[in-house]
Amino acid sequence: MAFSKVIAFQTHTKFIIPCAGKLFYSNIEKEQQALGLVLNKGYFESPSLQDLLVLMDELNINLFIRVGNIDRIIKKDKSIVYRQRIYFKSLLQLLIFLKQNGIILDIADTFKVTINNLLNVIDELPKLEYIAHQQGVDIETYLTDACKIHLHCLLTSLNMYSVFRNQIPRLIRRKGYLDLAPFLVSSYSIKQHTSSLFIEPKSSIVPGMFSYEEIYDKEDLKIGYTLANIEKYFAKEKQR
Amino acid sequence: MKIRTNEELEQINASLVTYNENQWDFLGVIEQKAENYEYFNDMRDVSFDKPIRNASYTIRIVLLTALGVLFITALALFLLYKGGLIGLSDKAYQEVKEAANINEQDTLQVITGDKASTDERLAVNNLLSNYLATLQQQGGYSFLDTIVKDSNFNSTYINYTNQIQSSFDLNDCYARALRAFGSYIKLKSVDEVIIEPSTGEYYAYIQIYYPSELDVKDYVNANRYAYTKYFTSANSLDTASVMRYMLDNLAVAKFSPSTSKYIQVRLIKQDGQFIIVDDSVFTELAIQGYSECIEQIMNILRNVN
Repeated sequence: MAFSKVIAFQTHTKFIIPCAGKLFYSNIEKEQQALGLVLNKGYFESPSLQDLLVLMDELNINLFIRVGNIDRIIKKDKSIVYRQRIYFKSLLQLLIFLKQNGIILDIADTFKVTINNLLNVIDELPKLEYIAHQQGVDIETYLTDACKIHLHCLLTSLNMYSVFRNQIPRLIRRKGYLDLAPFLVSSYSIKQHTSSLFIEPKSSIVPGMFSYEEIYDKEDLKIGYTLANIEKYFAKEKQR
Repeated sequence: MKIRTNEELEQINASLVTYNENQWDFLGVIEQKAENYEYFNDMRDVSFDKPIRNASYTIRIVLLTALGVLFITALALFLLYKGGLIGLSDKAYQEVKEAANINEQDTLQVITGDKASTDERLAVNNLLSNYLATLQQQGGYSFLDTIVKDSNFNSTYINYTNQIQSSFDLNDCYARALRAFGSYIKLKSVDEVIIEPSTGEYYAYIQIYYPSELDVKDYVNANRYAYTKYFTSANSLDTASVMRYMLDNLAVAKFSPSTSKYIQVRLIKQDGQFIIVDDSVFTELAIQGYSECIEQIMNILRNVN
């Protein structure tokens, strides 16, 4: 394991997430639902076939599924890399694996959360559009920004390098930008109907991300797209 | 951890497929597609929530009360009907009964020949049950080639999937629709199995439930609000996007065809086992089903848009 870690660091193996999964409703408490965004697929990219093969040998087949074969890619700068698609049910487990092996997480330049990712929660579309509009952006930008900011917080909470660290000041367009944003799903199981959401620990909250100092009010979550928070928000908006 | 020699690496390298960066499609992999719905951005479960169980206490009480009232009303009506105070005349009753069980009487030409034995009928019943069970699983169609002489359903499916270039392109939608509508074909009964004297082939006359034009129209009309609501927002109205939403909606709003029809299925015996000679009738029924569904949805959307 230590040997492969050295190799991965030296030859710049990366894990890239090209696209998001779907948003769905996650039960965070007995009668409380929240909206979570799944990231469940990506690919390892390495300039060294040996390194990629060693990595694949170490991959836990209970947590990750290899999809398709290793492909050889000729990049635009004529360099050659090797890619292997991976599917995973736990973003957290993936990040732990990447950390152990010294691999950087990145997202594709074309990464975007679009309306197609909302098919399972299509009833929330008008509300999300409204919230995005209030933040001065379109819905796709809002959801994509939220995903990147949450990912950045998740990486920093694990003491991992974050490729988003320079983008964060630009991404947080106004204070409380993520007050009503969907969460990031940490892990899920369709068979068991369970899921867990990532909620930022205080130490990794980026200034301006939320309007509140404390994100909990007694036991209720004050931040994020929970159906209770949305109800309160739109009730206030109606009165205005 | 295995370190490979240079020769091994060269061998592996030679076997890899090379792409230019702009040609490589992350979602273009079709291997194991049937088993990896989540991978292909196709989560089946709409939600992790179990709606009734998680409904608030008040809603549950209201629902239970409504169910109770409905039950008492139904019981009262039944007692009144039995007591002769209300009821349909025999003639009217028969008309309602017949309308509820729609059975398309196709004019099938039944061949003349000897009837198959009871064991043979049972074997044919099991074979057709296995065939349709495979369709209901919506996957593993390679099994069909073991019980059909060149399965048309499997080859049609493979033909679509081989032409897929990206997730939810037109061919991918056709493949998914074929899977979905194939799964709605269910065996009702095996009525007769006749042995054709000159060829020794077996002809099974069976009744199946299938997604008929009427069933599809009823289903689409019942869900028209979902379609008109979705497609009046910023979504393009083209066949692939309509099919995609149709498939998503089918996963949520149950579709249960109730129309049945008679069909003839040819079989032969090979090494004592029955195999189906031609299964194209099932392919055609599935294709007709989803084609009709798309047409109905388009008709509704064109009227709205």
